[in-house]
Amino acid sequence: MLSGAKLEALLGKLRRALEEREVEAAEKLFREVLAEAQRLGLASAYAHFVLAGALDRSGKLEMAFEEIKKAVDADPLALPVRHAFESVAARLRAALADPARAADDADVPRLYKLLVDAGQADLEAHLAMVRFAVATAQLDMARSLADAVTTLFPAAREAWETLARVARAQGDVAAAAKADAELAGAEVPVPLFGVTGKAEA
Amino acid sequence: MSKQDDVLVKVQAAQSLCSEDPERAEVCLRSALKDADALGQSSATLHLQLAELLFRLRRTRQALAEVSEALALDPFNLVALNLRQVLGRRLR
Repeated sequence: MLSGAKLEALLGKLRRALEEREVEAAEKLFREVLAEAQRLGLASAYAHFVLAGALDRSGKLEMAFEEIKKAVDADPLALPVRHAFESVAARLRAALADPARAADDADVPRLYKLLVDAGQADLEAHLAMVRFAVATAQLDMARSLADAVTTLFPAAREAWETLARVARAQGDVAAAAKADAELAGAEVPVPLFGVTGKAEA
Repeated sequence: MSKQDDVLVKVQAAQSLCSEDPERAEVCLRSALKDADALGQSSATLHLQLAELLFRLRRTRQALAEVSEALALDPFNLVALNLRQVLGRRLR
């Protein structure tokens, strides 16, 4: 266990980082503490957590996500850490699927990979990546992804719409028609309680 | 649901019980710690959570034991360090 002057010095640095108003300076101090901790074979969920918070507050969402992932790895049973992870992941998903983002935005693959690697990609995130692949003329990739999305989300009309669009762009008329047929099925509203027709005594 | 999820459910239950029924919250937390141990996992945060609960129940020595466990796992946890100071003062 780390103790004595070395620990006190690192804790002093960590406290200074928390009190530092200048974001860059705080980040530097946090990273120095974490690097030293790592050198000593220590993984501090707390230090990663507070660094993630500082990065998040300064708008560095992707870096915050990297840090909060490390905090979850260090202490997977910590609920506050998990809640922070969910919150940052949700904002990353929203950033990726932002309608204002151009389909061929160069940030899309990076954001998408971050979410996929963390198991946090949702339907919208996958569709954003398909749109990127189409917009950058990577139709084979778009098709593989669109096929996978319909497997993951068979009840989602957007998934079938996207697959139909990609298949059409590839000139695969049969696959597009098949996706259109599935789309028509996906559009039928599912009864809330499994009761169809009029209930009669 | 994975075994880790089972532990998290107990932690969540403890969190919602801690103000109304702290004794039951303690049972949940101790059970979560036992399950985590069986899974080969240790959590500074869980020990700290239990320490905070015991502190509120004025069981200072037990709280100190838990906070020491938390600090052994994560010596940089400033919340645990602060609690240890408070507990130390209470014992003096």
